[in-house]
Amino acid sequence: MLKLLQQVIQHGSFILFLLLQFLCFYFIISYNQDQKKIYLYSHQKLNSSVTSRYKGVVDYFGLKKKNAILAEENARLMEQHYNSKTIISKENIETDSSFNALVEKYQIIPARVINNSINRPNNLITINKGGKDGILPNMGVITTTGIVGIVTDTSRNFSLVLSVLNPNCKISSKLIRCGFFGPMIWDGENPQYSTLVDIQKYADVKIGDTVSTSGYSYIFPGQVPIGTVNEIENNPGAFTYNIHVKLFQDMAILDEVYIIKNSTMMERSELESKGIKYE
Amino acid sequence: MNNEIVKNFLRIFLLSLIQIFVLKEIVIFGENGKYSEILIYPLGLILLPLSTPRFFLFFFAFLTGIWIDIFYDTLGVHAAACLWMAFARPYVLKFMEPKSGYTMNQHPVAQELGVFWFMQYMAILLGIFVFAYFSMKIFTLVYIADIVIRSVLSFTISYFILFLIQIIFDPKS
Repeated sequence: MLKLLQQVIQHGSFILFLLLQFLCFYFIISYNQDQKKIYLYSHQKLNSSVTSRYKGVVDYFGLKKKNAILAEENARLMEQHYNSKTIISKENIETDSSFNALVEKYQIIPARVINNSINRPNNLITINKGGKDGILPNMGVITTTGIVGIVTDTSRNFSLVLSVLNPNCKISSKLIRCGFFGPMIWDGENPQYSTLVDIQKYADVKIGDTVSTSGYSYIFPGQVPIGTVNEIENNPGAFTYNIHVKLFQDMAILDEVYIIKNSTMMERSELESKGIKYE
Repeated sequence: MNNEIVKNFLRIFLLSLIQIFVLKEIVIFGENGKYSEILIYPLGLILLPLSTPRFFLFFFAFLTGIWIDIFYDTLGVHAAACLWMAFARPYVLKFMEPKSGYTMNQHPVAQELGVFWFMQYMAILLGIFVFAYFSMKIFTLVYIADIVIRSVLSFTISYFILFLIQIIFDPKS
């Protein structure tokens, strides 16, 4: 304390200088219009730049949580989007409860990819949601830009997804413009492309046409975008085209995915399995 | 010593009266004297005896500045410039100390320390004052060129007039 006092006495004149200078500054910015404006402007600018920078740093801490919230919201919006196509009209549902039960209802569950491969002949993906989140085999997996694959196996906390880059994964697809449909199977070459087979040669296919899911399977709802037609392979002697499709979703950068749960899945798979004996 | 204080006080008062009633109205460069102001009252602070305590120096500078500010209607601007100059004064004196050193009760005037010494001494302090004054007046580094031009022009005129005053009147009397 004594030392402090000594210091104050020693540097008293300097402290006085600072005090008086501060007082001058105060006078300048409070009694002079031009200087006041400049001061307020700079003050505001500095203040906003500091707060925005601070916020920029702090935002990173909340990013994980924010991401999860956005994924949830995305899932909810997707649900609305896909459900709106299955519900024919609201009045019908309200008047006829049996009809309501028959309508396909999609539930979307957000998940994250924790393991992925694209350069093997049979590619698989692991996601961080499993049986306890209500995930079952044969559910479709999509992203906001395209499709990812089909769930094959689940454990309690994780699920294994058959990537579209796997020859065992057949996705019922459709050319939106002309309406022709067929299975899409990966040819095992380029991870950016997949092949749509069994398109009749009289189909009016053009390069650049959009390919989406057909909606004929219970795995994916209709109109989920897949990719665009890149090349039409015309095999002489065959009745069908092989169409190379460039996928919208780059399979190398998967992160946030959404699993589609169809409420009528069990019923449809049971029924359709009965038809196998006639095939 | 008492006489000394009164003398210095009277000198500053007189210079400030000239500043307020005569020089404030004089227009030389630019429209409405936008580019130059004749500032002579800092001479009062420049000529304070060497033995003036710093504490007193700051206080005196501040009061002089505020006194001028009241008439210029720029509260704080002159005071801040005076304070900067007062702050620099001891360092300038130390920097310019002659080989033989200062003697007690010496005054920083041409008659005692030589014309050349005084010219340099006044130039440095006036330069600091003028630059600080225009910096405070314009108050933004956006117009740094403006600050420099005004400072140089004002400095030239003020310096010339101050030197004449110093030569014509013997400040000791």
